[in-house]
Amino acid sequence: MTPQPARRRAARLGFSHRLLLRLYPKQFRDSYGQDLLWQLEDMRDPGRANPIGLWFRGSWDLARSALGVRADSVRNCLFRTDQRLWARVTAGNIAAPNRGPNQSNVEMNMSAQRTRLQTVFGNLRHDLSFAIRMLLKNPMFTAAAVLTLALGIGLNAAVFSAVNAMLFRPLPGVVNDGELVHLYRDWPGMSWGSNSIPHYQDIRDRVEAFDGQVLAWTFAPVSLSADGVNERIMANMVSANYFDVLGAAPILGRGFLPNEANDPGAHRVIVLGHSFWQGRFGGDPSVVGRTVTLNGQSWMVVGVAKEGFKGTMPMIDPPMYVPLMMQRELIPGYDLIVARGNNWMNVVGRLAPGVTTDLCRQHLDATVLQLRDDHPDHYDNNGISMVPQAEAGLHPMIRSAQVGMSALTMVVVAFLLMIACINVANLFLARAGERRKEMGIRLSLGAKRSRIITQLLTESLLFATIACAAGLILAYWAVGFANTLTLPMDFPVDFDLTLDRNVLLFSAALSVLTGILFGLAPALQASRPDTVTSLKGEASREPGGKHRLVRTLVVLQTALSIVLLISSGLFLRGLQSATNVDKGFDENNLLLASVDPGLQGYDRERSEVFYRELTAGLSALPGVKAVGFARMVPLTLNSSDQGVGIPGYEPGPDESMSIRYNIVTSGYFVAMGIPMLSGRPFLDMDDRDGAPVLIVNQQFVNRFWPGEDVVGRIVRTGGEEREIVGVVPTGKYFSLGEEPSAFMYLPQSQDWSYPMTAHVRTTGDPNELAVSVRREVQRLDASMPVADLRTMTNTLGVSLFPARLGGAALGIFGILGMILAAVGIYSVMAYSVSQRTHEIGIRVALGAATGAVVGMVIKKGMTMVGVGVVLGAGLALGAGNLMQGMIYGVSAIDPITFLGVPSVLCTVALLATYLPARRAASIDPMKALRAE
Amino acid sequence: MARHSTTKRPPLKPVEFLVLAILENGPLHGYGIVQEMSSRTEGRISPRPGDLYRILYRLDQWGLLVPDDRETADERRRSYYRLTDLGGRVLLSEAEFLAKMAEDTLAKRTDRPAEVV
Repeated sequence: MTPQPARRRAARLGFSHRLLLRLYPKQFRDSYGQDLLWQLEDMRDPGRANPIGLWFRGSWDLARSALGVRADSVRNCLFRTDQRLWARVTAGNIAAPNRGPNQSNVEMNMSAQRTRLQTVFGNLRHDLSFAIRMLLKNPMFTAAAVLTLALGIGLNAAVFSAVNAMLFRPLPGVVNDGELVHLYRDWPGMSWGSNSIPHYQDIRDRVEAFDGQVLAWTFAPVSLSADGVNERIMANMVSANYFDVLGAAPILGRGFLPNEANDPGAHRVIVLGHSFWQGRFGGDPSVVGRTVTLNGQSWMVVGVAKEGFKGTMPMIDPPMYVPLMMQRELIPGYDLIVARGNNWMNVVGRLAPGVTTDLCRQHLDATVLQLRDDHPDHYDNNGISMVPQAEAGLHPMIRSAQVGMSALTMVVVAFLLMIACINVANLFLARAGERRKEMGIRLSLGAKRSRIITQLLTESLLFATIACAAGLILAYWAVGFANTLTLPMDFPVDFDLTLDRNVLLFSAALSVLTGILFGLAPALQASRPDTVTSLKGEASREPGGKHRLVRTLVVLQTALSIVLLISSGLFLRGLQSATNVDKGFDENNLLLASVDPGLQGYDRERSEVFYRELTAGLSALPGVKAVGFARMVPLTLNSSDQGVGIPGYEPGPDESMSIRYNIVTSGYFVAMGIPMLSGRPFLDMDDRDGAPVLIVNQQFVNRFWPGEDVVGRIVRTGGEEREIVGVVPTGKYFSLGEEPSAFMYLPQSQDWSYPMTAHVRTTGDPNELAVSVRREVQRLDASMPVADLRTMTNTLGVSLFPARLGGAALGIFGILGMILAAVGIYSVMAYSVSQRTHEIGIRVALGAATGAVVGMVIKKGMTMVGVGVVLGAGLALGAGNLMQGMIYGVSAIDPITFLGVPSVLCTVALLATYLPARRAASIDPMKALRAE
Repeated sequence: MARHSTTKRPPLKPVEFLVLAILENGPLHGYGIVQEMSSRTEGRISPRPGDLYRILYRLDQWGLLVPDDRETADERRRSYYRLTDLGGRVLLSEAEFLAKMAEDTLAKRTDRPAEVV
């Protein structure tokens, strides 16, 4: 006999097998379970093999076979394999098998289960084939419903793909981007500030939470000459560990080496971005090792980034990467490598294994305290803030705007989808009316209500599935179109919208939801007909309940489209008023062109000569009225500021004394059409040797010397005492929506800047002068690249582009919503008229005038529309208040929008009810009465 | 909606055929079936217990065999499995079908001279 412990162990193992036996159907357990376990136990005889191994094999055997038995049951049901089939095959009669005494029960159980399974699968198969038949029977109905829904689902998928690309998608080509955190500096009154290079180095070397895995990057404009083409591009200037921290090793050549993080100016190497390599160098692998000219010097291409890798900012595809330590060569005239006060880098760290964001925050706070001890001047009032990659978006500063805009657009397209759903629900309701007799018969024959609802829902889900497929095709087109859009700006923008897994899952969930949304109401309605009347064929005459539902849906639909239209109307009005706002300068007939002699290796003296000659040359061109240069073009989201000290002015405790400024030449104010309120513009005498001067705007005066004459007063800024020589009106500098803010202008000759943008005031169309301006620059230096050669109106278009895009999208969505609503009203009215043919026929026969009939139908339709409009306007008031932050210069109860939109919609609705009304009036009473 | 016709031969897998063939000699319990199967096929077919009982259950559901209680030597009451009439007929028709296929194959084989591989 087996020894006692082995037997006990066997019993324990047997217990777990007994549990596994629960996986089998009950009949199997009853008839075969014990035998099966015994047989397994026989194999577990301790003398034969390792009992644990046997137990595992036994368990696996049980689990697998249980699954197989279940599959067999399903298969038997589907293919109806049973003894009758075998009997037929052997062409004999079924002799009742002579079973044991307790077998009849088992057989009954078995057949019950079989019936249940058969019912489920059979019903599904039946419902589906029925749904497909209904689909094919009414191709027009199907097309209308599918198209309407596809439009709604497609728009949602397309918009979601944009939101997904901006907010949710992981960074392409980056390993474990969930570990990345973006680091910013916080100052009083300014969060999300950039970092200086020494600050970055301290973070990298001191914060244990990163274990040295911290990178820095920024954009730097460079002029590239290769294969005989000069162009200015935005390079990504990155720390040497950039590719290592991101885990994105280049596909060709190498990334940057550790020693390229040291020795400023020693390593003229670049890594090309993959798409730039494809586009500019034709994907030629031999480019690695080649020399190209960057800012007039030879640089060597050492690598090509891997495909899809685009750095740490979504939607931007950098053309090339250059080492941070080459800053002086890339941005001549500035030494930022050791300047702790110059904050201009983006810093991204990778959390070391096991480090949480909370721990990281503690480490950062501790590091700030250390730094405060070491550099009290630079860290007295600021800290470090951290944003995980998942929440970073484009930049935390604009994240709330991004999220707000995304949410608004998603809500708008969701509204559109709801309107589409209501349309389809109405179509289904109308058809449900036609099928009342069918339902009545089925119900009276004993069909369960749940059974009928299931069948109708299967139909609507099938519709939704087809619409989802069609919608994804629409979205695919829309996304393809969006990807071909190029923005007129320096940054290598790449939307790269894709219908990825997120989008597909979103659309699938959406279509199931829509299927239920538009299918449930008609299904509930249709499965509850009054059996007697529907059997008598009187169903079609004014079914009160159904009609109430239809009317409610029309009212709801009108209300939704009113909300949609008013919201987009408000947004468009805001856009309009933003475009028309007084910018403080005349943007018409103004041509811009940027040059940077510093990038060409010019020193200051040579650059001064260059700018003098260029000003003279451009002014001499026919059609040019005035020429001025400025460091920055207003309203392009660029800004520089520096601290000021006003003698005799005591700033408040939290008041920022940092004032935005621009560096300009003497002709700038004339060229821009900015008048002098008092004093004089800059003159040639305001040069290096002249007394330091500046010009301020009216807001500057209002803030520091309200109501006083300020010409001749002194302002301390940039370490110098400057005398105010002139005052100009307050304009817009950073964005159109900004509050009036203090601003100052410094002369280029006294606050030197190499890169400048020419502002050329023309008498006629500025585009016509573009060629002559470029030729003039190249007459002075053939190798000098001219960048951003475009009109001021175009440039402003760039800054307005996101708002315009949003406005255009909202406008299109609003109009689509109105069309859908109009179609909905029309179809409901047309259907209602066709249902009332009999009644209207009697009215006409009794002498009702055409006008009376038309009036009756229109009144009925417009009552629904009216209720919807009032309801919608109320909702739109609420929506307008929510949008107040996004619309500029327009009240949330803008009367033009609130009166205009409803009247347009009412006109459209009137048309949509008039057509069926005409048909009602033309009913031939004889035909109508005979029809019954 | 009966789609199947009587002319269509339903699938009977070799191992199912083998079980029926073994039970033709008289009722047998599970363990005996496996041993017999193993010896008849020279060890080529020897299902694990889970697989064996799945097959038995399937054949039972098709009405080709039934469990039949019987005392055995040790204290365990093992089920013996017995062919039903229908099972016998199915076995016969399958055997005829297989025999014909085998015959055809062998006939072709003898028509042709042996190939040298």
